[in-house]
Amino acid sequence: MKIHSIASYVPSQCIDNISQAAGFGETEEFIRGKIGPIQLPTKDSVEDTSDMGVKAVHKLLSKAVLDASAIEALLLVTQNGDETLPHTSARVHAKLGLPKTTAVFDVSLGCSGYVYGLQILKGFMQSSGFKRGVLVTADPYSKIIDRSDRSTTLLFGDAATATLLSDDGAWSLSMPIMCSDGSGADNIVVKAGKFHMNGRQVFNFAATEIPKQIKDLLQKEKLSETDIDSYCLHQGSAGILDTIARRFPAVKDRFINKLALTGNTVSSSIPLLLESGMNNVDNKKILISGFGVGLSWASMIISRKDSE
Amino acid sequence: MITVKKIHEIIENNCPQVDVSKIAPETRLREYGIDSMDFFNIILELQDMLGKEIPDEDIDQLRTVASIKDYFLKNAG
Repeated sequence: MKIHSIASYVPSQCIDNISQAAGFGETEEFIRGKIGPIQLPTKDSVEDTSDMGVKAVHKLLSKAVLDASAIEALLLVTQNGDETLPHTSARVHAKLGLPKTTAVFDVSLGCSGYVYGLQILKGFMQSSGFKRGVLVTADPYSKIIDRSDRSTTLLFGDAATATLLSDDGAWSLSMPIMCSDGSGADNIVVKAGKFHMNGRQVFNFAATEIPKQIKDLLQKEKLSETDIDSYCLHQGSAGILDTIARRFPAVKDRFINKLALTGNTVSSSIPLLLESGMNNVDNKKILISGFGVGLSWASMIISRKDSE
Repeated sequence: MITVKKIHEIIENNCPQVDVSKIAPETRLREYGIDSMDFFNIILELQDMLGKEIPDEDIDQLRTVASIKDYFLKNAG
């Protein structure tokens, strides 16, 4: 089972992050250099999580020249769905008019959700004999962000993505490394409807665990750092990306930072990078790594068909 | 044990824009343009040197070069 194509939906309505930061006494230099986003897309108030996912899937179907009826499975990664019940993928199922024979379900994960989601959907499809499945990410943090909390309101943007996995895709998936540390769960939580993050602890976690996991994965796959053409890590913040990249001086410039126009879009940040990164003919092997809520982190290498 | 020279070295590693020779031991690091992200990186390196996690509640004791040195005197080894 391989990645065939990826499409995304990014709301056109945006918060000007430079102005928002100025309200907290932060400079444009700090925002551009250490935080990353100069604007933060935010969904319309009448738009819900399922609507964002549906828009991404519509774009995917158009890109892959595929009818919705061909989707045999759909997995939605979100922790900010339309309602507590039912699962939001049921709403996506109805809005897309998918057949009753399509299996749909949600997975509750944050920033590690894309890597986990790929592995879950791949295994589910293989064991079910399915040929086409879609992984949707849609986790609009604008629903839970406290706009008076300077440590989080400058970071997160809304976006949704849809990834088609099929038996005729071009990008194969390596075995992932997937980890969890529930003892750090309180570092990223929603309490009384508002999002809270212990920035220092999350920074420590990412700076310590992600370089280690990347090195373990390279060793497991018998690859060197320079065998990877592009490192597409979860876009946590410019500061954390830079800190992780500095642990890999020989390939520091291959760590992608595209926070400027979207911010941290949770489980959508990696597929947003891949959507353009997979079009670059120089990219034959891409390492993806997601980390956050849980604490949970996972990394995988995807390889273009002709490079295997 | 940690020396002032070593603390300056850690600051330089993480904030190359800062002229460490101008840092007064009792002045808060943020006065020299060291922002919260730089500070996280400095703490991370100090933690590695200390060989144990520095708890959140101790962070305020690490805002100046002198207080970092004191903290290591009390907590190292």
